Amino acid sequence: MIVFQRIFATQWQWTRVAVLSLAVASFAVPTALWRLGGDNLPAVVAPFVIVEAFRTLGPVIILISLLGAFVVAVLPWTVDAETRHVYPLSLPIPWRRFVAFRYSVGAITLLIPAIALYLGGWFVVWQITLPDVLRAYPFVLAARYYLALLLAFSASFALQYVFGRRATIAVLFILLAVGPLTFLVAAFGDPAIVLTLKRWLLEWPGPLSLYAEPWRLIDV
Amino acid sequence: MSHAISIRNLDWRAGKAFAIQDLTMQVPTGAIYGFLGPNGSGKTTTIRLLLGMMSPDAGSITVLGESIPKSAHLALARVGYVPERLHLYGRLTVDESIAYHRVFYPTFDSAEAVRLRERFALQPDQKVAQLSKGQAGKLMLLLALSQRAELLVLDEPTDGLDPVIRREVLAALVEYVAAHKATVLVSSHLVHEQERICDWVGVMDGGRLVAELPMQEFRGGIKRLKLRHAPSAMSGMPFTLLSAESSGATDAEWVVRGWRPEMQAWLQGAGAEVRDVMDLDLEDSFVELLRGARHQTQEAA
Repeated sequence: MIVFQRIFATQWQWTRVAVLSLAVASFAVPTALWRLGGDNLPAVVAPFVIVEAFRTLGPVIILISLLGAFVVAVLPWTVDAETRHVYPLSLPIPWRRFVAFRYSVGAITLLIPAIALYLGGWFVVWQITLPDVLRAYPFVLAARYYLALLLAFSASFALQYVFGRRATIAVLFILLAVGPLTFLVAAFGDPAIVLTLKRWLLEWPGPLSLYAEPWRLIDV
Repeated sequence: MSHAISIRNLDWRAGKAFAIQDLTMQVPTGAIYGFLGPNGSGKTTTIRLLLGMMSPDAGSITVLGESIPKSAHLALARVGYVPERLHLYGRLTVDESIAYHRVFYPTFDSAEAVRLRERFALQPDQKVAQLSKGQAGKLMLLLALSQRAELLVLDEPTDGLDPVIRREVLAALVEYVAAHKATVLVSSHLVHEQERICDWVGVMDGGRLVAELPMQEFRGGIKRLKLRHAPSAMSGMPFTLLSAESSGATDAEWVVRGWRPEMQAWLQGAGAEVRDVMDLDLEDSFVELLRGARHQTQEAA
């Protein structure tokens, strides 16, 4: 336990700026969207107008979660890589356990931006007079945001620890391979296959469904 | 004799460029074992293999009775390691590094760490990345010594340090060994430095251990012989011929290992006249050992 605490303390020291920046951004997103899309609306507006004010919440949150989780995953790996991983490997702790600790610390610290989004959601809801038909779902939104962060973090973390310094090349290779393939399938593929593939990827329980479904802070 | 490190028939290959080949090596418990070899001979790779940082292709490694790499973490709890290059986190301060390192070792002596930090004049709040090479070397040694390790593995610990710091580091090491009866494996290409502290020597070259012998034998057992009418037959020699060079029609110079004065009779019996037996200094002995090993490899090829 004391080993985990110490790894936690050092890893937090290296990632706190990124995590806290991510938390500030997460807190600010609902308010910013409301200021941009809904703040100038009359006091009493139709329910769908309120819902529409947050229509860009999904893309913004997905972008933030991908970037933030990537940074939080890469930073500690980079610090270990500066020592060519000699230091962690020379410590009397099995490598798998060390990596599990690194992962756990990242996963725990990502709760902070998720909590920040939850608080940011309540903060903006508190400023809006909601019609009876609408409900606020900041907890569900924050929970889903945490899962999105965790998924992106896990993918980045796994990529780093499998490919190491070649991770960038691996990502480029995947993008170069998947990108044109997706284009070809979309442009010239059998529409039925394209639809099946799309459903498999984007509809629950598809691997990307977490990102694809609409993100709602306020809904019926 | 028990062995703190026992390596048998170790093979490890990195592409076509470099390989550790059939390495067998024994470090006696309580010895200060000098691990000599030119740069690129495989010393660091062997050290990383015996600490379980890499897996061998074949062979077995035992460190303090633990099988490596399977139980490396158990052995590492009793091993203090100082690599050739700084391996600590540059973003931590000296005191943070000590605090981080301490939690992994139940035997870590915090009071000793503070004492050594003061002795080495290290600033507690200085970032590791800002330390000079000498200071970084001292910090790594401080951590290894404060662990109260049974085995110290030091990879070129004084390489690139100025003579004053080098002397400080070696003094701290010798004091530790005297007080704790620890085993030390210290790699270096600085032969004279090894002579001062080591009682065993292993010499690596081209991924092979070309010699392993007590320092006394290394120091006194390698001789240059000036011969007249040197025999050409190589079989049955009571010593190991490392190199032979002709000078003139009848004269020759041999460098031999395992020489004892009574062997002069064998040479005379073979028709040779021994004109002189010269001691080699340690560096010459080292060079001749390498030359002999390379010559043997070329002949075998």
